[in-house]
Amino acid sequence: MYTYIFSPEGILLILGFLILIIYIFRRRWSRFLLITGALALLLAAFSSFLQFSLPPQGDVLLVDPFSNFFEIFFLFASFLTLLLSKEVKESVRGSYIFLILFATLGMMLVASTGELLFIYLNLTLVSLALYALVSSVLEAKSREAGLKFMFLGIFSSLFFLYGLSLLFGQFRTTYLSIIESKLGNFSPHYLFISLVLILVGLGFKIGMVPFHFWIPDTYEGAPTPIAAFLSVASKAVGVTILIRIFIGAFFSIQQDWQFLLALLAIITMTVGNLFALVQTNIKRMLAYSSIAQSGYILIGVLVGSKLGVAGALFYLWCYLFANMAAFFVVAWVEKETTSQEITAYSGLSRRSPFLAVTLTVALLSLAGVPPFAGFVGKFYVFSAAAFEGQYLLVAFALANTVISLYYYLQVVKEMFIVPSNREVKIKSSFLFNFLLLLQLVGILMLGLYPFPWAKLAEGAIVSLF
Amino acid sequence: MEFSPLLFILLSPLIGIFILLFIPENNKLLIKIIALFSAFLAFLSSIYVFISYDFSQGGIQFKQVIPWLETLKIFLSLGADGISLPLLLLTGIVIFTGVLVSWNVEHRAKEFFIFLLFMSVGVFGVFSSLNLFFFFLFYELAILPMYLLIGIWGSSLKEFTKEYGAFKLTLQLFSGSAFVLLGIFILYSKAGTLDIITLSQMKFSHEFQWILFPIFCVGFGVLAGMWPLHTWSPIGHATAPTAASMLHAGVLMKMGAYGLLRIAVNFSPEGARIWLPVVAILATLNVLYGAFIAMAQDDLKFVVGYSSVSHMGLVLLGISSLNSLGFSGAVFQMFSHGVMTAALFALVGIVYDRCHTKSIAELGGLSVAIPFVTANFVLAAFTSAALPSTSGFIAELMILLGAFQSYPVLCFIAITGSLITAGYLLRLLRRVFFGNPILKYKRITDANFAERLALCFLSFLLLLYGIFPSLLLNSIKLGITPLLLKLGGR
Repeated sequence: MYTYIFSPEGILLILGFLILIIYIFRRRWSRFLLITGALALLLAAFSSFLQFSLPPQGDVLLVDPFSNFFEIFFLFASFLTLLLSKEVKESVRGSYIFLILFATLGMMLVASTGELLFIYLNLTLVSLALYALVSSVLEAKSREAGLKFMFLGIFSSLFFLYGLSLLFGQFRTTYLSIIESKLGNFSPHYLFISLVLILVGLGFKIGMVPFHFWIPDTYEGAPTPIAAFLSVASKAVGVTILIRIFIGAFFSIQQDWQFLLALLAIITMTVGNLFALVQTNIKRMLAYSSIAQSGYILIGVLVGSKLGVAGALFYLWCYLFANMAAFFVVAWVEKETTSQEITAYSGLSRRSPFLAVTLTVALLSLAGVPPFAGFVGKFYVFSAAAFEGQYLLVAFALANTVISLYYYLQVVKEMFIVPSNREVKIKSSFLFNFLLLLQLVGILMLGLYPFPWAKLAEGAIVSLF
Repeated sequence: MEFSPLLFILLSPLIGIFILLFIPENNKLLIKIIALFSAFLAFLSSIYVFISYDFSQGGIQFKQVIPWLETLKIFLSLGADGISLPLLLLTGIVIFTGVLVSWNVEHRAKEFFIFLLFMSVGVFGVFSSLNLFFFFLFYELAILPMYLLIGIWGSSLKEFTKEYGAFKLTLQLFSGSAFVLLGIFILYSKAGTLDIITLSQMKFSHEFQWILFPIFCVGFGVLAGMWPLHTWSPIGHATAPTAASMLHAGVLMKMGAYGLLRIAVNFSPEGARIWLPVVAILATLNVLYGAFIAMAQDDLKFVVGYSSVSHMGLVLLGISSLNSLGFSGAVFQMFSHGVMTAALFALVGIVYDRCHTKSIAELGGLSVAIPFVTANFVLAAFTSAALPSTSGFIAELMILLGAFQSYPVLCFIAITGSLITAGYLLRLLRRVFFGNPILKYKRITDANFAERLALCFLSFLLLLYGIFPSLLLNSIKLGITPLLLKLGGR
């Protein structure tokens, strides 16, 4: 039984190493390696899906609906990333596939543990793989992006570690479940310091202001599939830990940290949206938009109610589909026009209607316009905040959605209204179209028939409360 | 499961859109026929709903509840009562005639009709939803396509580009809808339900209503064109293509007034008592300001746009007078103004199409070349100036009588606004259609068959409801009675 429940991680571990070993000896087999990698991700997702009905079990490694929910999330995100890389890069090396698989493995392990040291260990695994992936292109910009990401990442993870060790110093344990039971005996002021330190480390991952400075530069320089991966999966890792620590363990002292997190959420949304307004590079714009999106997700977490956390989880899926779809189109346009400027999108609705429509739907979903996924997600999260009486927070968030509409519509304007100076059709490959269609359907499904996802999200958080 | 005819109203444009998606873009005639057919179906079903409503029974009928997201208590629930019936009918009329007058749209026709039908789905949805979530969903659905409709098919003016108009309209309306959404969240968290019927049976504390009303009022006020939140309206309508401004000025602005009645006044009657005098003052300003600015305009579309602002002021004045006459007048004016503005925008669109200018100074003596358009313009202008035997007269009379009971002084000020309306419309008629014919406009062609059909129909309605107002008033009376009861039956 014990071996069986960790099959998703096991599959990735074994096949990941297999890919690396084959790559060392047979460099030409990249196509075979790619298929193996994609299959590994699918297989892991399938076996994770089978575990959904199992009761929570495990010690250091936990298997509960929450971890399953995120495992599937990470696997799906990296599956899309891997295939996108195949479509838009000239060559996908075995090491690249290995790194994506191991980053995913780390993410899954982070999601399925309630032990602090193990969280830190796996977070480092994720980070190391991502540092390498960001600088995997032989370009100065990519190197620069990787270096910035790495230095700031190491710095913030030290804060995180410091926070964890303070917790250990007080509680003499690294298990969150034990910490939770002992919580009543400790003064919240002392705890507050360690929580703030932890928040610094997580804020870096999530892209919370003021720890967001790496995001625009890194997204701009990184290969576009990796930027997409960072924006979706890496952010979700931060959210996972945030929920595990703040909701899972420190929920009873919510009033101590809630205000700080609310303030940070407001600042995050506002800064992200205001800076996105002036961007001319679409990847930088999406980077700032992803910062703003973190703010909305944070609202769901900080509200702390079942509705709020389920809302945050639901929102993550909406964000996955919409943001991934946006980056898919950006990657393809970048490949075709070698430009990341928003002006390169002029007349895209004539050059490739499918790409233009999908990008429009994705951006409008990010802006929270009905009938797309983002609207239901926002309604979910904001109504949870309203139920807790956080009306000011809701008002700020709504004001922010209006601001964000401006820059999303700028891209729509470019695609649909501004005539193109080049009327060459853009053709996209079959696999790419299929994957993009999958995401488009996802956006529409979550927007028009959200019931099954909402049910999953609510089932996932039961073990936390 | 039984199907409500309201579901059919919503589905017929949606099915039209779905079919249009699969039709090749260069098959323009087929595209137009399908668009017209689905608009016609929606129109027919809105007539069917109006006729088959049981007037002896009243209340909300044609109910349909479909579970959607039960964890958040969201149901797709539809229903129609006496207030929404005329507005559904109006939407049916305007979308049908809107497609007719857009018959000569050639540039990217497929997308044009898709967006137009999309907008109508939103409007139909707003007037028939009984769940606040879906109310808001349809509300935004109706606003959104306008951005692309203006951006792609609109026309830039001397002072403003169409991109500016599109952005201004969209962002301002979305800011307004953010207020509405905030109000919905507050209401939802307090009452724990999104169902409009349940909510209207609840009674909230005085302080709560006091806070809730202004939030909704600002939100809906933006769409209803309440001064000083109206600035999107003239610019947006002036830059928009004909059918879009017909639908937008004719129907979408009514969504604001409808929301004010159905949500703001309905859920916080005490708040309404406190705040509506303020709205009444703003509404009077609307009437005067819109009329004065319209007088100074040179662009035909701006004249119609500002006259819309002025007329929406009358609707708001009727609502804020909080009595039976005022309410019925307001709803009647919504309908009458919807048909009339649709006709005016269609006519201006035809003039612009033939003469390639909308400037009053450059036009003159058009009645020689286009007598049919002229005749319809005169009728629509008379309705706008509220001459007896047109529907505008009935509406304004009721509103002003209602307003006189509550705010005698404001009523007199508003009457001067109506006088100015007559003034600028007569000036416009004289300059553009009568007077010395300008040589280069002598050869222009009159309205084509599709346009004639649309215009005849709209003009017929203006006269019909002017002569037999009871056709609508019966329904309106049923709709406003519960509201008046809540307000204390004044």
